[in-house]
Amino acid sequence: MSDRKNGVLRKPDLNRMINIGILAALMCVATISNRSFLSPGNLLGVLEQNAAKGVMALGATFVLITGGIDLSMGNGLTMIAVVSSILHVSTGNRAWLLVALCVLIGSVLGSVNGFLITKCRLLPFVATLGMMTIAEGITHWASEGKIMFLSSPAVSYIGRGKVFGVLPFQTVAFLFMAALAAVILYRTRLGTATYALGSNEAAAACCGINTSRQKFKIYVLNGMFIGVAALLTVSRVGQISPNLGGDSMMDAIAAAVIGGTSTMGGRGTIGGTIIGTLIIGVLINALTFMEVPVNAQSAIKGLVILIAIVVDALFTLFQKRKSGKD
Amino acid sequence: MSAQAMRYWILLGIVAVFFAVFSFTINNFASPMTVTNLIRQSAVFTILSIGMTLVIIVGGIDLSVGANIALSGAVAAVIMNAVGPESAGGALAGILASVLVSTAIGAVNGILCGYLGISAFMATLAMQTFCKGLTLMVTNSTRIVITNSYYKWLGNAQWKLGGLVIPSSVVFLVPFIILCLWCVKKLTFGIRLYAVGGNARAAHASGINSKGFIFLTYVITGFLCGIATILTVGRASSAQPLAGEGLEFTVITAVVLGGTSLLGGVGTIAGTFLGCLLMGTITLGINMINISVFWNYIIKGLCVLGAVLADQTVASARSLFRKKEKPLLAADNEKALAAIRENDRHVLELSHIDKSFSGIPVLKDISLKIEGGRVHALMGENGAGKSTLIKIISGIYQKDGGTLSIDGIPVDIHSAADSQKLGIAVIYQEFALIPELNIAQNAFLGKEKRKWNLFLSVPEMEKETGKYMDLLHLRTSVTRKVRDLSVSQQQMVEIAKAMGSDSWLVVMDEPTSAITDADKEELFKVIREMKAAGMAIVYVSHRMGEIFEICDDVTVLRDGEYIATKKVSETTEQELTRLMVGREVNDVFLREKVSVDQAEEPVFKVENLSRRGAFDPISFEVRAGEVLGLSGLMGAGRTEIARCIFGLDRPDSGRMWLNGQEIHITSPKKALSQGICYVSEDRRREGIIPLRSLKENICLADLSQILKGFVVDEGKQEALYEEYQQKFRIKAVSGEQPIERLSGGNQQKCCLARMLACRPTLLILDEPTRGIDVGAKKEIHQLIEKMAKEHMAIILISSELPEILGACDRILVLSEGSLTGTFQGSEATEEGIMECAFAGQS
Repeated sequence: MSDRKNGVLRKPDLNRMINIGILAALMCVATISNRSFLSPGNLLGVLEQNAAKGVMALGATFVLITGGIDLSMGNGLTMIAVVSSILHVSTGNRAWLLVALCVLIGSVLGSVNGFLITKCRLLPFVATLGMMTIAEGITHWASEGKIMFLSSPAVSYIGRGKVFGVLPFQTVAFLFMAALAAVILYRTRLGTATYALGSNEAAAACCGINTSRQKFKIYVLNGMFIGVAALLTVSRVGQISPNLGGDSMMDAIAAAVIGGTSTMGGRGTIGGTIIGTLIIGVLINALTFMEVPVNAQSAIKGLVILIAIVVDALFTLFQKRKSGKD
Repeated sequence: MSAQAMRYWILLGIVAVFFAVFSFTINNFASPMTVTNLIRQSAVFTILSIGMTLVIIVGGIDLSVGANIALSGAVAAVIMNAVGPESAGGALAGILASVLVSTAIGAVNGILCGYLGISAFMATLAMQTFCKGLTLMVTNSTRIVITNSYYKWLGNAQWKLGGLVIPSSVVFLVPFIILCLWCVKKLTFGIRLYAVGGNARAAHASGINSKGFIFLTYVITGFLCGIATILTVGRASSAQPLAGEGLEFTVITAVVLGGTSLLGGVGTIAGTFLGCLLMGTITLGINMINISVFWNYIIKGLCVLGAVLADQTVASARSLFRKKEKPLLAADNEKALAAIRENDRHVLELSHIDKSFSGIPVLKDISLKIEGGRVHALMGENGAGKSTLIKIISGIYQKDGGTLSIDGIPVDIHSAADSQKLGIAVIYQEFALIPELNIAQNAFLGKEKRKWNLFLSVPEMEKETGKYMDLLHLRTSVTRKVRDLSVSQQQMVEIAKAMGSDSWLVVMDEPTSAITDADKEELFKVIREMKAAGMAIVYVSHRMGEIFEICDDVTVLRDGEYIATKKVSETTEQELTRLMVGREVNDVFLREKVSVDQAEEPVFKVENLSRRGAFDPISFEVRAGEVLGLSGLMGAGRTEIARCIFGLDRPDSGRMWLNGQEIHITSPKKALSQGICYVSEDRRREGIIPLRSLKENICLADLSQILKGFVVDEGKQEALYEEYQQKFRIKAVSGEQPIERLSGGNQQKCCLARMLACRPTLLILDEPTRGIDVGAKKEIHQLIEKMAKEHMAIILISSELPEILGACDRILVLSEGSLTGTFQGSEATEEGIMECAFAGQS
């Protein structure tokens, strides 16, 4: 192979600009169709509605950067939400217990995934596929025939409350989690290891990184993010149901990938994931204002994700040509 | 028993156990009706599993199958109800619609994953969302009832055969399974399938249209979805918006249970069928027991994990038997570490180190002493074992026998972290840099400085990195990403990384192979400073000049054996060369040269061939029976020229003629059909299909030679293998042996055989003897001699000067992508070639 490299435009930077462009364009379209789109209330609302998905996308970003995947995210969210809600309600509606349980069960799920992937050396796809099915089973087992409402005021505050009467709590929670994710990714040893694992695991091992321990930690971290997402979801819905997870895995991965995270590992940023989450959120918000039926919305969402991926692939191909490598 | 046969029996055994358990616990389970139900229930996912197996074998995945069924079912129902709710015409329209829609979705997946190279997971996941949305639109979220009795009949019909009720799905299921088994076994489809899955790049370089083939597997899966749609909609008498929800995971589970690896290249249709049988039995039994659906999920989940885990347990149990080593002396890293802290000059002693890979010894009884305050050179030809030895010192590989000791205290080095702790830093030949991280992050990778043991102290690390960069005169911001640096700069970052590690021993593996002369001077200055500070340096290089300039001691390895250690001041270049190459130095590459009439019309000619960033316009020609050598340093453009001729890369300009006729090569397939063959320098990535048999590997470049009509003739395949096995003296147990079990030299012979089986007019050999032992080298050169005598035109690319000098009739030397010298074989000298190879270098 050639030892030479030509000056290539730095890809993520351009990618980021394209993404911001798409977001801006979407917001323009939304504003034209609905004058009140840009009102602070609506903008905060967009963030509020997408907070849980966003938190999950943040967790997915870590896993994807290591070159892994977590298929158990969606069903995991449902399981965490259902099991912890049932325990919360049956022990007297203590809100702190719900919060603690969500994070705890999330990290247990993450540890099992991490254990299977690092100790049993299963592929992330297989390990999390198995856990996906098992999580679904546990959900059914726990929720069978139960109808349960979350009535604690503190939980309602997490779901629909407003900090200082203006900022939706969910929005604040999302921003907090994003800041936390950024600190971990950019300012801790684990963050550096995340990139190293996905970029070149052998090289990371050469540098003395304990690759399996760090990978395990990433999956536990991801589990905790899923736990927080479960908390945000269930407190917002206020009721348990086996569909709480819904399409959230798809949305989370899509948000990360639209934001420039590579499913091949090694590449991704927190900022990109936030923008990715916003793109999907604004899109749905705009479509709703345009009175596009819900069914069509989901098709359009899929199409937009497809286009985003294809544009990215074409762009990569084009750049490879330019730099003289096929 | 082969691992595959064992898997079949185990799967059958598990199915039998479940059957027995269910028969005892459920009334009426052991009845013919169960078989009927089993077929009825599993037909859809079994059909899909066939497609999924193909997709997964080529290294992809299709998450859109479930949504595909829902969408094509909805479209078919709408069309059918519009065309004729009762007529046969309506049914036909419905069938066509199901198949067409499904196949179209498969084709789009194929384009995305095959031609655009998008990650299959992402592309098909997005496709799933899109299809789900469309389905909801078409159906308006309600089920569409169909009344067409012809269409329903396809899904619902059943016939009585003795006591057995046979549902219509059998009519679909059986032919497809048989057809698929036949295609994989009897057509070249099977060989291509595993070749693309096992090593897509090697398959491409053997003239297989890998992208097109991947596309094909997705189209087949799409088509099978269409068939599954007919069954699903027909049976339910309606198209349902949520049909196929989660089906993809059931299908993938069955495929994985059947032994197909998600990494691609491994798996069988038969295994998948057994996986489906198991899944079907479990689902049916659990449904009949009438227990919580909870168990259904849990058992399925555990099955996936269990099946894959069981495989690994068997593999690791096998490797347990192979393990033997016991350290001779008790190691004590802590004591060694304490000793390191006390003294400031240290000695690393290696004694009787042994290492072998899959039974082939690569290091034999190596003993060596590396002292502080000295630069110790390690020399030897490619494949002599230098890199392996370095990786044992650094803990990447584990030694099979022998001891390592520091200052006389035995130490255990099991990982890179261990060696780092003991103060050993290594600069690898293939960089251990992370492209996405910046220079400072890379310099401190794995040993970051932290505040409160938690947060990175970024400014501190950047400042320190800057210090080392200044020492190396590397002028660039420490926050630049490594990806954006030139190769030379990356090499300097590697060196800075070693400097920043507080080590007393620094191992440098070919540190100058990619840097400019000016950088080399900076590096040498740093090495001298390190030496003065009492550090030990192990210096690996092929360049004699450097050894004599910077090193104090030199140890020579040959074929994994320790040959000698000399003081540099007391030895000569000639002596070192003699030690490195051994006795056969002269006769390995030498061949009887046939005089080729230069006036004769050339077989192959290129004019102004160029490729931006790789090489400048170049023109040359090769005559029949002539061996043309391309020489120069790594990255000078030699390989790139060959790749353009063979169609692996596209040239920016230039024309080519073969036998006087102008040719246009756009792909390896075309090159092969014209009689141009290329044996890649990168045997692992572009040569072998590791897991497949020798027989398959050899016939790959021209599949037509093993066909009888359009069916694979196993006799012909065997004969082809026998012919080349004897001709090339390939050492193998049988033609069925996977190629990865062979030694490098034998693998190389197979790659050569694969190309020669195409009877080429022009053969391009790229580093044909890299990393193989002397005996095999000699044999390969005898083959080259024979081929030249048979009037083949040969282009030989090599970094080894003796090889180029010994084998070539004419030599072209490249430097930085342009032609800097042409020599006749008889008048070329090492010095002359080296001068040209370095010409024009900054």
